[in-house]
Amino acid sequence: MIEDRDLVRRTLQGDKTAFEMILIKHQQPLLNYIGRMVGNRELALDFTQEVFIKTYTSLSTYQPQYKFRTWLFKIASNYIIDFWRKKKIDTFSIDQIGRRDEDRPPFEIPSDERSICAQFELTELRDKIEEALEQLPPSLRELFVWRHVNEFSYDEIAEIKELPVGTVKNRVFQSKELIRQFLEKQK
Amino acid sequence: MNCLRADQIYLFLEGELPSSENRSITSHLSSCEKCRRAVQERKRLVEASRSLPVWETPQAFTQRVLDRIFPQRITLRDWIVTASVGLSSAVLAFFAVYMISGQNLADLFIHLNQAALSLFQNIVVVFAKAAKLISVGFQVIFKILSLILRGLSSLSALISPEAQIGLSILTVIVTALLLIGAKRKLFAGEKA
Repeated sequence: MIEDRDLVRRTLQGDKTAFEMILIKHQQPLLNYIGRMVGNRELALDFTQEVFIKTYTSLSTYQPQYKFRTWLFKIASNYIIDFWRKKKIDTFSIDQIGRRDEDRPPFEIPSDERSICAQFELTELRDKIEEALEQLPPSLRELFVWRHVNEFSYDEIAEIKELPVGTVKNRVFQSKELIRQFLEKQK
Repeated sequence: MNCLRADQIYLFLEGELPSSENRSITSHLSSCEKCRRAVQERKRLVEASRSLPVWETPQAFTQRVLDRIFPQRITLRDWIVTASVGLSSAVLAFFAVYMISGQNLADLFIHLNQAALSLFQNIVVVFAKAAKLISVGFQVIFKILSLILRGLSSLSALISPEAQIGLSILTVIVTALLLIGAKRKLFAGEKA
């Protein structure tokens, strides 16, 4: 398996097939992330395309000491934030949700907690999680998708968002507890 | 050991805890029904989250992105090949007419020469008029064409090749029907 770093080097030397290999390898993970962030397939495909174009034009600034896919997803994340800013959605306030104490789901488990997930068939549970994801604040949804859909390590997520690993873990757990709360309300 | 918190459960499920803490949690779980249920609940949530449906990219997506990044350029070699094919076709067409018409080769050349001259005279007049029209309409046509191309490119990314073939056939049929309809309308007076 050719390393991403080698493919980047070859692309910079003018090898188009090397960039095609990068595209083939990363297009689906990127679409799975962007799709869940914007919630619309057509828009997600356009964004994925634009992110790859932006990546290609910035390729000379890529620093090989970082993982290529964290760099790629950082570009994608910034692209989506820019889009929300242009749409006049206050990304700063969105980011605050989940940081404030009153918004955080408690990590203490009540003694009368119901087993919700077991009440759904697996397929139904997946659908419910997708529904719940749309209700999550984007800053938490993003971390959840990277961790569970893209299967990034906490270190990789921390590198993309430039946050401490502990903070990333906490927010991913918060997102899961919020999803659980959503499922509980649905039942 | 106290009952588990949700964050501890997630760390436990992901194997992120030191082995000593893992052991004490396992021991606690063997005696605490509430925590066992809480762990099962979150284990199922994590399992379902890891197997969410995949968003597939359309077949033509890679090519669509590559075409945007590396637009096709027509090289000098392409021009030479095109010109050679055009010239060869013209020569072949000439000899085909010669064979079918059974005319003398010299006569054919003369007729061809006259036809070319008359064509040239007509073309000069038509060209002068058309040039003005084209200069006005060029920008509009260019915009319409780019819109159509963009639309087609988006369409080809959305639908499968089989559907594209079906759609093309449907378009040809509809166009043919429209032409037949237009022709009937135009020649309606003549028939009457």
